[in-house]
Amino acid sequence: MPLFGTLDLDAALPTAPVVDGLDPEPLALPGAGILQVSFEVAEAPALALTPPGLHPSIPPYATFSVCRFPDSPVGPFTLAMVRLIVRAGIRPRGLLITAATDSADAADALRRGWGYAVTVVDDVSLSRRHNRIAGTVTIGGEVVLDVALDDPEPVAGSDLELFDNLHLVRVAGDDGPDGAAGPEGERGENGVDGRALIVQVDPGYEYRDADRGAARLDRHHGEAIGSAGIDPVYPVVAVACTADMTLGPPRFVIDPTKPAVQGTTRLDRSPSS
Amino acid sequence: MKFGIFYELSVPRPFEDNERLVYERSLEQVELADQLGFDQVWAVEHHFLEEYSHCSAPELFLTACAMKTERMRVGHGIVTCVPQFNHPIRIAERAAVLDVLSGGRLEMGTGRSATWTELGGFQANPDDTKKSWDEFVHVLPKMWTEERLSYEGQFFSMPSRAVLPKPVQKPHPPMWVAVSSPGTEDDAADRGLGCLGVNFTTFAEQERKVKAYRRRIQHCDPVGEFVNDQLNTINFLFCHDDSEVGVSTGRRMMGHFQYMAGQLDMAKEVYPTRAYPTAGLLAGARKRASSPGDLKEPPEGIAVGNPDQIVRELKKWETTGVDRVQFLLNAAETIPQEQVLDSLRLFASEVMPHFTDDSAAERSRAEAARPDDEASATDPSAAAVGAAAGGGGA
Repeated sequence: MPLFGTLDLDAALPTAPVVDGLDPEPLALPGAGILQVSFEVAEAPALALTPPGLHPSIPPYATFSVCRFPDSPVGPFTLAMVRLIVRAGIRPRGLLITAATDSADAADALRRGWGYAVTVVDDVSLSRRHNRIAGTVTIGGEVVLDVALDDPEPVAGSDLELFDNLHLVRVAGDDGPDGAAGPEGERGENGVDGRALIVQVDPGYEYRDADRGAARLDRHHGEAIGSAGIDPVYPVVAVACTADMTLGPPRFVIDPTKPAVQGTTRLDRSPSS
Repeated sequence: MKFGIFYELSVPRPFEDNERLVYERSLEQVELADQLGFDQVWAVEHHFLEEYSHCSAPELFLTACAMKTERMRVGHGIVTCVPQFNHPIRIAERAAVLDVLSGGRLEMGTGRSATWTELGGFQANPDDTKKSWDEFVHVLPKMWTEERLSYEGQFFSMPSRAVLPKPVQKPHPPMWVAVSSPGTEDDAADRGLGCLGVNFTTFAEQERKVKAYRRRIQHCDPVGEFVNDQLNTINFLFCHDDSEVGVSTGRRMMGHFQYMAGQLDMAKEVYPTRAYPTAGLLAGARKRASSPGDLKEPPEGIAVGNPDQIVRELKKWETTGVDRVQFLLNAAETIPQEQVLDSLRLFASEVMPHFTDDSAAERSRAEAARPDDEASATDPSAAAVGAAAGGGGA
């Protein structure tokens, strides 16, 4: 059996985002500019960030993303994410370790709707030049994340694998950070009760263009941005694209205490439910 | 149709206890398979693939196989033709030594790796692997057949040297390529290489690929001194008198194998490149994982169940014109060794006798050799395949 994660859920849950429910209004995000830089990371600390129901990939690697959304219902915003690529059963997913944005409205919508562990910071930027696509996060005047794609070359959008997110969350109405089931009668919509959950967030993408290039990471201050334990050791690749993105309601949730193959529930999205 | 066995050498944790056990048990299986009439044993080359495959030095394992057997052919399934993994001179030398030690029983499979786990580990560029594979397969036969060779290429060059020893088989061992990406079967056909199908595809997909390959190889420009126009497919085997035991045990083995495969970082998923258009065998594995089907019946085309069920499934393969089927016998020791050995014995006594001639493969070749309009007008195998396919499967 593959290795399982060793994340201490009792320690992690108190700070996990609280979602209002599991049926947020879809968010249309046309013309999104996305940069994703992949690096292999050190094994042991990555395993300690992985919930017990998930497997690390072999070898473990992380993605550092900066996404510019010029048009959204909450106004334009830029979002940075650090994700650890894991396996839910046999399916590759991006476990969100931390996120940062330059918009309080966007942070509120993403946190309450989809469980993004996102904080508002001074600045998140994405710049695109012909020789380099770069993203930064600035906190307290200090650049804490500086990633780039060097020497972009066009690829097809269908060649990209951006992977769906996994977010460790608590559902509103649940006081218990210990993962125990909430009292009878506090079950939320779709039959999901008040327990802590891992929510799968699977955006839709319609690609306008896509590039691939060399991965570059000039600065990653994990303690400052909230990704301590992500220790980049070897560059993999960087990709960038422009896409019309849609953030729909989650379709799957996972019980973080069980192996994903046993603990995954498909949420009923039929009109009558 | 000929039958063989195929090894990934998957090892459950803890590795330090189980690696030696897996190697020893596998060699015991090989020895028995040789006595029972299995025709070939194949072994992969993989690196860093925790649990999934600990077969990083297949030439050593295959040499041990050759020493323990008298008749079985020994197959590299495959040698990675990427310079960061293997220098082509060393590939030619090791293969020739294995052919000498086995008394001329080598089958030479080639490929290029499909995982970032391996390509990244050797710091190989995924964009280049098709190109280096192509260069290697063209030069390997020359190293075996020419007394001395000098060479200048994109991925390696050498001044005039005698690459030694030379293989026992003349002019050289049969050559194959592993097929897991769409289009590689065309690469195989164009170069006169045998097709080693490793993507656990469906019967219907395989049928289409067989026909296309047979037609295309008629017009090949062979890389070696002769054309190897054989088709070899990979399957799982667990044979038991009790259908329920056979199917459930076989499904457990398959599920475990596919679960281990799912943990690997496939090149396509990590590194966007046209050189890897799909996730290789994982695409099929994930599809199967989403489609459990009827758990009491064998999955379509898979050799698990009782002898009658296995004969039925393998007859479908035979009808397509596949020449050989290689079986994975276990996955990370999911099945106890005695049951694996009993499965081999039962297969040999109850299933093998149903497959004693090669007429289906010969018919398939004859079909391909006929002009297009004639072949499409009279294609008796097509109806037979359709009837067989309709008779079972999930």
